[in-house]
Amino acid sequence: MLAFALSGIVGVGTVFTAEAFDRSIKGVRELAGVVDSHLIVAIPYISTKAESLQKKRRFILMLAGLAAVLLTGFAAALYLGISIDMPSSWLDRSWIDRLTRLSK
Amino acid sequence: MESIRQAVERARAGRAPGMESSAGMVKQNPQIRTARSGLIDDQLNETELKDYVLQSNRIVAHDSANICAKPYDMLRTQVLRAMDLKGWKILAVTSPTPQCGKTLTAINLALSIARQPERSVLLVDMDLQRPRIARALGVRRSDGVLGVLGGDIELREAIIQARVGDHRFMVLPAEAPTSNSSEWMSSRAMSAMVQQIKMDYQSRIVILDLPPMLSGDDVIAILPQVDCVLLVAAVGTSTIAQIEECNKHLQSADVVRLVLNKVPEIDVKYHYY
Repeated sequence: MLAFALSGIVGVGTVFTAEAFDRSIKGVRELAGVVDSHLIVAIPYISTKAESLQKKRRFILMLAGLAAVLLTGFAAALYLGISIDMPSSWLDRSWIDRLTRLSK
Repeated sequence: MESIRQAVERARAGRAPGMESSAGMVKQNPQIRTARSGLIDDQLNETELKDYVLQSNRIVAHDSANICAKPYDMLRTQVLRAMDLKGWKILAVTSPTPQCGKTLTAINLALSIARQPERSVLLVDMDLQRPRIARALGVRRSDGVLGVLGGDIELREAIIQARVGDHRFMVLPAEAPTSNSSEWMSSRAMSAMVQQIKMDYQSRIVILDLPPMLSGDDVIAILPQVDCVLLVAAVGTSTIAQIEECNKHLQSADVVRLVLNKVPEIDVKYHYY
């Protein structure tokens, strides 16, 4: 539990430190103070087909990894004889619908 | 209207269409060999650009149906309006540092302009430190800007007519990186080449893809020869301090627009209707 809390604190701290030291422009608003706003033209990031495929692959891998972790946990619990007392609401249909919507 | 105006201009100058570089009108510079035979555009080296090469290099502006082309069309309209108002023809594209998408912006802007029937464009790779245009377009050339500057090849012979679908535009690529780009940029040969481009292609919009501003003095050396500048910055790459530094160098130049590249899609919305 302590390790989990510590890792969380370290993670959040790293993100905040990185953000604090990152001076790069994040959006059009930051530029408006330096250049006349009517001169600024924003162009979105253009993804290549390879990048889109890679993104999809990464998402599928992440889901597969999550499923693998859950299955391993269940298997370990069964092996060790720990009873998994899941409330029936956890397996409610609405959760599956929500997850499906999120994945889209 | 534009084509009529150009035809009138040509007639006044005593030139035939497509023979913009006639011997009598162009003052010959010893350092730049010009095509005195008067090659017409159809006789230029034509290369068909491959769609998969363009797509893999994020070049999208040739396809008007692609939603990613819309921001470049907006940029084109704004830039051309500003240039037309002042009668400017030579646009320099630069960025504070590498990896801002300067070459990509120059190519996509050129393709967007080329889609307009009454416009024509010449894209010149002036980033002699890291020439990228030929590779991005999938064009293989042994001759280019350095050959022209060295007097080994005529300007018109070095220019490629690139075709993608029904649209054509001219490209003057650079061959390979050179360590003495700064010397070339401030050389008389470079001034002569730019003057030659101005005279031979006066009916075209000329886009010069320059090196990054803060990585040397190349841009400062060529600035007096260009009409206006398009500065390209990128989200996650450029800083405000870099933009301010560029502004200092560009005080004597006309910055026509500042492009902020790689903006997350959620911040920029273009809608179909």
